[in-house]
Amino acid sequence: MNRHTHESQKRSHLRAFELLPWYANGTLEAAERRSVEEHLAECDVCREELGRCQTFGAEVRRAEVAAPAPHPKQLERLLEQVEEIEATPRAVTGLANPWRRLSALVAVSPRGVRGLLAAQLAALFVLAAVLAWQARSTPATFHTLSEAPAVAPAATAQLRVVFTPQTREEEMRKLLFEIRGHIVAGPSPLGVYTIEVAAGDGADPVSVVLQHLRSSPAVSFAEPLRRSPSSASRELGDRR
Amino acid sequence: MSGDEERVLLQRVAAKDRRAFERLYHLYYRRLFGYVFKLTRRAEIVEEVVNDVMLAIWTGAGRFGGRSRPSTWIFGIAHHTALKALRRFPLAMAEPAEDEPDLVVEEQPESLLNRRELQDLLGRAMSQLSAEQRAVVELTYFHEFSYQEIAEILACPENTVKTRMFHARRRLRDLLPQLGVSGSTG
Repeated sequence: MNRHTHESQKRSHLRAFELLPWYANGTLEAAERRSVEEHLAECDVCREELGRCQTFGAEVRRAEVAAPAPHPKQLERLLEQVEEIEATPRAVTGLANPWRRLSALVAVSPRGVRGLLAAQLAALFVLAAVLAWQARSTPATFHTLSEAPAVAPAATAQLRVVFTPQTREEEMRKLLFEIRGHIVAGPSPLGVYTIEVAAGDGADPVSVVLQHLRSSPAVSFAEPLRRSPSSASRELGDRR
Repeated sequence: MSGDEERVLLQRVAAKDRRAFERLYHLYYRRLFGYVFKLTRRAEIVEEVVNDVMLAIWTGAGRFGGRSRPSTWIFGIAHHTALKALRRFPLAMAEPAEDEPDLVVEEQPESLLNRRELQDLLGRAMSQLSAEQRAVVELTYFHEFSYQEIAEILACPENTVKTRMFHARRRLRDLLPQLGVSGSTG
């Protein structure tokens, strides 16, 4: 066996070896599946490894997280946030999409018309882009006179808190009293409470409240809940 | 529900159909919860992450091109959101690095370990992987995605998926001899 053959055999072995997890989970396409099968017929290292992948995979599948059924209150809150988002005017987005559609339109037009059409669409596109850019920089212009402010000034802040397992209800109440907070949601199946405290003028800054909570041995986790759901989802941008 | 039916559901969500959104929520909640939990291993942030994922689906459904399966698109959002949350809420103790000492594993044959012990070991071994390695393992074996779909979900090249899996397998081999995962690459 010359060196060249040996090298290429080694390569095809590594290729097959790499693909074994997806051979094991049955998602390889026909061509790759066939080539792995061919290799398995002559490689006992890979046959052994396949066995390991299958055993391991079975164990991973058994690791069912006790995912709770969605709590009706959680869904309710989610739907409220959806309404909040829909009530908030947003700047025009998604310029890329109209452009793709427009260029597809140009592509299917007969040759003679295409140039003229393209020019017209380009002009329209530029206009749309200018308008959208203006809109993006001054979102306030979308408000109509009859519309209430999209996001009410927040007089409260919400926190997510998890108490340590041995915490008695009495201790919890004492802490809540100290921070002038009350439970608005929870405990969730994982023990997370949503606690509302006053914010804004006259109230302690949230950072002070959090510090107070975190300094207590009864609290294992305390974080502010982000206030604006629309900013949270906008952050994500285009996920394809 | 088939991929096509899910596609239609997403289209309705893009058209701001609240009922369709609720339907999607019930369809995906447990899967998302499980994935985000396994990825972050942080019980206290899972709920908020899943919530954020649903909101991102609501606002982004119009951008779902239909080029991929709805499930890969949704899992992609879940993955991205979970990693962002991990960065926003770092643990006081950093996530185990690749070169940290392996957890001590007793070399007991599988037959002597009961189901629970095995699961416990698996959980601890998985926490020794990086989040990205854990993601590839979970998405492959638990959610049964192809490596091409995983590349979409993780927004990385297909070769990166294979490499991460390769390294994860090697690490798990050392950590879990009980699952018969020992030996060399050959």
